[in-house]
Amino acid sequence: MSANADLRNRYSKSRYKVKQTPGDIIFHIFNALLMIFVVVVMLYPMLNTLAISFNEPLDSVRGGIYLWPRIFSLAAYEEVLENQLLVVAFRNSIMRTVISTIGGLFVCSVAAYVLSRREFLLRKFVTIYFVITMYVSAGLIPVFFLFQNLGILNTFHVYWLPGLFGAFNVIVIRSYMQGLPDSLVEAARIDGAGEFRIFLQVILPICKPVLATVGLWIAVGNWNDWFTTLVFANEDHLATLQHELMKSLGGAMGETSNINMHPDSAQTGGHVMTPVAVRAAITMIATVPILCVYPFLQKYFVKGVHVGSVKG
Amino acid sequence: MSSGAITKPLYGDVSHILFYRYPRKFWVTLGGAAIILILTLLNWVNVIDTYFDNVEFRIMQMDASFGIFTAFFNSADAYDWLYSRQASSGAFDPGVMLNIFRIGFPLAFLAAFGLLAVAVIKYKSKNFITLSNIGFGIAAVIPVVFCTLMLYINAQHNAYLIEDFGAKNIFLMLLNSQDVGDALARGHAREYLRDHISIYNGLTAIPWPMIASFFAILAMILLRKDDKRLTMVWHQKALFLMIIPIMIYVFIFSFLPLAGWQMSFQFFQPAADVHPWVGFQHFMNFFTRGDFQRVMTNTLAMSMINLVLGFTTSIFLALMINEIRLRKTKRVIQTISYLPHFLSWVVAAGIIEQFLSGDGILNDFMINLGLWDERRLILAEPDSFWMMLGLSNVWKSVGWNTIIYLAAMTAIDPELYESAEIDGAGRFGKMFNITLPGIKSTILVLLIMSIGFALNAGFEAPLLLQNVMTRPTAENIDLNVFFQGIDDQNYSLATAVGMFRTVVAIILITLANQASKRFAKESLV
Repeated sequence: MSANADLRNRYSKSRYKVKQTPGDIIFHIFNALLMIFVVVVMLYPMLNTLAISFNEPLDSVRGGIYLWPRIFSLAAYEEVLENQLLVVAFRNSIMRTVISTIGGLFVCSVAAYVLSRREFLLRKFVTIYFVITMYVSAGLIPVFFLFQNLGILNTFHVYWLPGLFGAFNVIVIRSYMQGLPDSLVEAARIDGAGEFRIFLQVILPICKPVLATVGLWIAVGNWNDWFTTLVFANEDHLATLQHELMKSLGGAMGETSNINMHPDSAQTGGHVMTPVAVRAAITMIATVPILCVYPFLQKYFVKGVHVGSVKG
Repeated sequence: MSSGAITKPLYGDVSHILFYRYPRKFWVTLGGAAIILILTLLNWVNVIDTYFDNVEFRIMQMDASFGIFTAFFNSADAYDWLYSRQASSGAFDPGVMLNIFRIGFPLAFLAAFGLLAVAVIKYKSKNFITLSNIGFGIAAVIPVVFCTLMLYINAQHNAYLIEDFGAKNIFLMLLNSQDVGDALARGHAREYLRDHISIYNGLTAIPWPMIASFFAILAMILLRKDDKRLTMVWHQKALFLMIIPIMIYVFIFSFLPLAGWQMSFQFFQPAADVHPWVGFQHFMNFFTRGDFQRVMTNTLAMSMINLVLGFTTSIFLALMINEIRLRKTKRVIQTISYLPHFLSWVVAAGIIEQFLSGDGILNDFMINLGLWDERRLILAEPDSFWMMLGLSNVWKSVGWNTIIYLAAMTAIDPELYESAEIDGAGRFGKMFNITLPGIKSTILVLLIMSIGFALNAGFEAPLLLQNVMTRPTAENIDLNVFFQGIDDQNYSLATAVGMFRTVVAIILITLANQASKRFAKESLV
């Protein structure tokens, strides 16, 4: 079948490729221009920030830096790495991301495994029970008081405990598991494996693609989250990178940053610090980890998103 | 037929319906389920009545965790009532009274379940040890075990509170709770309790008996039909064991906060002892207040602009990416177009602010081209905020949104394109007559779904991009809740607005789902 289709494709391509009309060529040029535009728009801001972060801080204020630093300097990064608050924030961000991702993947995949078993008696009921949580949320204030009553307000637990379960993630993983042949489970059962063993040793290993996708979503969501810190854990020892970055942007919430960014008061190694440079450096530190990971998981996105959003 | 029809009586009176149409077991289970349901509701009323009430919080959970019948006797009113009675008569000891309730009602609870279990066991007396009987036994025992356990923990905690560590025996401790009553009367314990709201209190305040009863009801519903199901439950015990903790977790973090909606009908102040009920006053305030219209306009305008811009751009980009022939180039472009999706809104907002700032690149560009006469501070212009927000959303998510369309396009049969070419269709002809119809159902489903989210105009993006100047056009419902609740600490009003939003959203989503079922033959939920 596929070989057949391949042959047909090759045949049809060779037959029709020859006939490139002038219209086709214009179209392709237009398309290429559009794609260049898209690439520039998506990529330029990051490269620009990268250049600023490596530029001499005071020089950056003059503006006019585009893709390459004018005067190369690591002063901004030194400043950031010397700031105790930012070190704490970096550690917290990493810890919450790791814990949430591992815990969240485990909880979601257990739920997905149970829901993927067709013989499970409460399958429909539990599915509805979970799906409701996607649409009904109590809102900010009741959640605030719930956290207060549970005693997780202003503790590290608020970062990982409430977010372990995600109905959408469960459905995505479940759809993938449903696509696996039933004989896998049956064979394992005949061999005398219990449900936990089947789940851990048979199903989980072959679900790596979908687990990678969902794991990335959870990790990105946790790494990028600043709101939890703002509302539920606004203390210095619970700082996160994104929240510090948010404060350094200023304006939005009218908060003042703890990071010392007055040009005349913060001097490190003969360099004068500027908000622009520090912000660029934090932005890069807060962004690079994700940018290093996601391109490698790209091939799994299509499956995850497709299955998840249409079948709900 | 004849062998099956044995003793069907000819008369059709009540006893016929009671005893013949449905087996006795049905009525027993129904009655049991009804009792548990009522108990659960009572407990629920009790819990929601006092859950968010900080001052009476500890006092409430001392009893709420086991005493379903003690709903009344938990509250401050009950204590006041008891003590006033004592003061007037002098012959009435509230501590003893409370102990009667504390011991009596769990016992009554136990008795109810015991009777239920006995009834079932008697009915099935021929094979005494059946799965059904075991199941009933478990269903009956779980809540009672929970109740007793909570009773025990509470008693222990009470002993701790009054620094009476000698009381280790559960029965001793039950009697000791009289001391707690005395401490309460002296007013010392109350302060102590108020200062010691901890994870422990949080855990015991969760209505465990209610959860247990819920599962008992579930078990009974399953039992109602036949024993086969119970056998299946037994076979699937591992699956149940896996899912039940998760269900409890989801209940705590997703369903329990819904009890907080009661705040929107109260005049809620965290430090106050009593929160007077005010009915729909907060809703009326919200609807009649001057900025209701503004907030609603902002919300609807933002979500409309997001919807239109988001759909057109991502479908267009998907069509264009689909036309790229070089596979590697295609993948690289896709990867780059996903990039902004993975940035946090904080980073994105920083980038957008820089881009649009007075000395930003957009100003440079426009002035060099001579399109603008002077530098504009675009993010300080209220009129252009909606558009800027929409464009920011496009920048951040257009690449990511193409995934689903591109996936739908790969599912289109290539033969369709071939036959179209043979029929003389050009590039655009194929695009409009094959590709677009091919992804029509995907578009439709997504469109209907996003109409369901019409009141979700985003939270992070407008919050980070707005400032004092643009606040009038930037404040949508979510921001309103945030400003009301967190900045102004107007908890009741914020909860009311949030509740309004959620209820409208549920209605819209339900309608959207119906529409989707009808038009796209595909259910979303």
